[in-house]
Amino acid sequence: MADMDAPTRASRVVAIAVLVLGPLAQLATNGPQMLGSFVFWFGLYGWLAAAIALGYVAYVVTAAVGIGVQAWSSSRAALARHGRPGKE
Amino acid sequence: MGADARTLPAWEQADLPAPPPFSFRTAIAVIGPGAILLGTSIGSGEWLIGPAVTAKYGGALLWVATASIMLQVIMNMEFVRYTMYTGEPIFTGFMRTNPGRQFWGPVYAVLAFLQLGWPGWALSAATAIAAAFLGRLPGDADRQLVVFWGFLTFFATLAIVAFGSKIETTMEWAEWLMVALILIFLIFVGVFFVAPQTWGQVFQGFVSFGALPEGADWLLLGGFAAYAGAGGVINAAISNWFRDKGFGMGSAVGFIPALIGGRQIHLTHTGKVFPVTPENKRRWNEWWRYAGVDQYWVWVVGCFLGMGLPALITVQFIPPGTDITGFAVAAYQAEYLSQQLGQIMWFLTLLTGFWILFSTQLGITDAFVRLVTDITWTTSGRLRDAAGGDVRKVYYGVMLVFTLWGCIAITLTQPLILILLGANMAGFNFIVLGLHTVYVNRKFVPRELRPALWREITMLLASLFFLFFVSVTVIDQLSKNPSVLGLPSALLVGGWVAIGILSALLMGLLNRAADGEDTPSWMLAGVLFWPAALWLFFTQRVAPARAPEEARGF
Repeated sequence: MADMDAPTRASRVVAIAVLVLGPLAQLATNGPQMLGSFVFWFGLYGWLAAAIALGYVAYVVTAAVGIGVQAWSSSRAALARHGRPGKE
Repeated sequence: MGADARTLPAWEQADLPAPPPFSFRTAIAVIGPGAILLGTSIGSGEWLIGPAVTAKYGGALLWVATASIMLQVIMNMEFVRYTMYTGEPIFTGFMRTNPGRQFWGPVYAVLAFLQLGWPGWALSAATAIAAAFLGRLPGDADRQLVVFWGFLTFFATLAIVAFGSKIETTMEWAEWLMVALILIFLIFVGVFFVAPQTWGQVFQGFVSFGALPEGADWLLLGGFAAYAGAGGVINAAISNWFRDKGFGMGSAVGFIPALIGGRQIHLTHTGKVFPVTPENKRRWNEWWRYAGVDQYWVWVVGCFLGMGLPALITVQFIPPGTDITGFAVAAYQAEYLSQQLGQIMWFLTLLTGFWILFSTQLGITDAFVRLVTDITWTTSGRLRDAAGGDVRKVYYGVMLVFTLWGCIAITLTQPLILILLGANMAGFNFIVLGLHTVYVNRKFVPRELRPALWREITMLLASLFFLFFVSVTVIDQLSKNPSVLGLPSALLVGGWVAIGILSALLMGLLNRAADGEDTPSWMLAGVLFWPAALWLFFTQRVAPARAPEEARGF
């Protein structure tokens, strides 16, 4: 993940976390005997879907925050160069 | 990278057209195919099959819709990937693989017909109109009235696609409008008349991963899995709409104009690709971003609303265990809502039900006709010559045939049965489309633009997901119908599939031993329809490649 941009990295982290922690939480709630049931294994499709959805949300949020931070820092840099409007 | 001369001519090269700079305003202007797909998607799965499942089994099975919709969006993006790179619909990509256009053209046209050739949406929309006229749920005795309105509804879809400069644009406006009307009503009812605990119950249903009922009606569940979201070849038609909207290289190849108001446009029968330069890659990323907005924010969000809001109404107002079927299928919600909220709800709900099913029939009619038009336009030089280069003649000719068939099919059986037939076929089509798309994108799309590994794995898992539902449904139906024409049906189906698998293995091994060109595609063709695949394999493998000019006929 070293050469990925920040939104892609964030989406991967969130998706993997959902894909791993979701089924683990299900096992913790219903007991390890679930490992022998078809319902648990077929239900992994649901966790995959959740991972895709939340991964995409993480991507969009991180990209939006990145754009916001970029805009903020460039406006700060512009202010530093030219001073505040109206200030002599 | 170049195309096989036995199938289709190689692509021309051009730079990728630059998209407008990304912003919220430009995104609204650029997107649109997702709205057409959404209008088509919010239909039988959401208003008929979804409520039938929810009424029968409660909200717990809604997680199947969560899985199906998210798997489908990944598939959609892969269909779009090919189109943005080549300007061709994904079906043209399929025809570029072996056994070639002679096999894949007819096979996909037949698969599309088996899924979409049942105008159950027009008929079920007609049950809503008939109910409004009768003032009660229509029954078997009202069959003639329902069928009459079914005809009119079906003809109305044909009238809409005749107008505008570009059919895709007409469709987009019509579907945006209908989706807005549908969602406004459903959100209004959901917010003001549905109890908070019902909201909780339905939300929980969407995330109850793994829940499956004992003794399920697998025909219903299989249909639900496939038609939550869009379904089969309708999803793949997104690539045709993206091409016509002008996404990526789509803007370099033309589109299908409408009959009235459209002028003749030259639609090239093969696409154009671009060299992967840093500038083109930057433009590609921007187009991909727009495609993501179209698919995730319009289509996915709309699909969840379209599935969740009718489920709220079902759970809140329809008694658990109600068997939703027959000629009143689109009017149950109206019946129960009006019992509790007054007569005005009878008409408003029927009207919403009508828009839901009518928008689907509209999208499906265009998707099927467009798909067959694109396939035949691409593969048949004779047809292009006969049409004088005017793709409209082919489009509206196919539509005429589809209409005549629709008029027969509409009288065959009940609307929900027609829809379940198509829905289960959609599940089967997903399997074929998923596998073939992974292969096509691997074969034709340059490495820098190919999908990430997780996307390819998800595509394969999606195919397995639908394979599960299709297999269980087939086994369930075989146990209910043990013999066909006095012969054991399980043996017939099992034998056919076994020969298909053996043929695929044989062709795979022989092809691998020869040159390995297109082995996965040969094998898929073998499993799908082994008699034609075997015949083409043994004739093409020994026949020399023909010149492109000779290969024009279909």
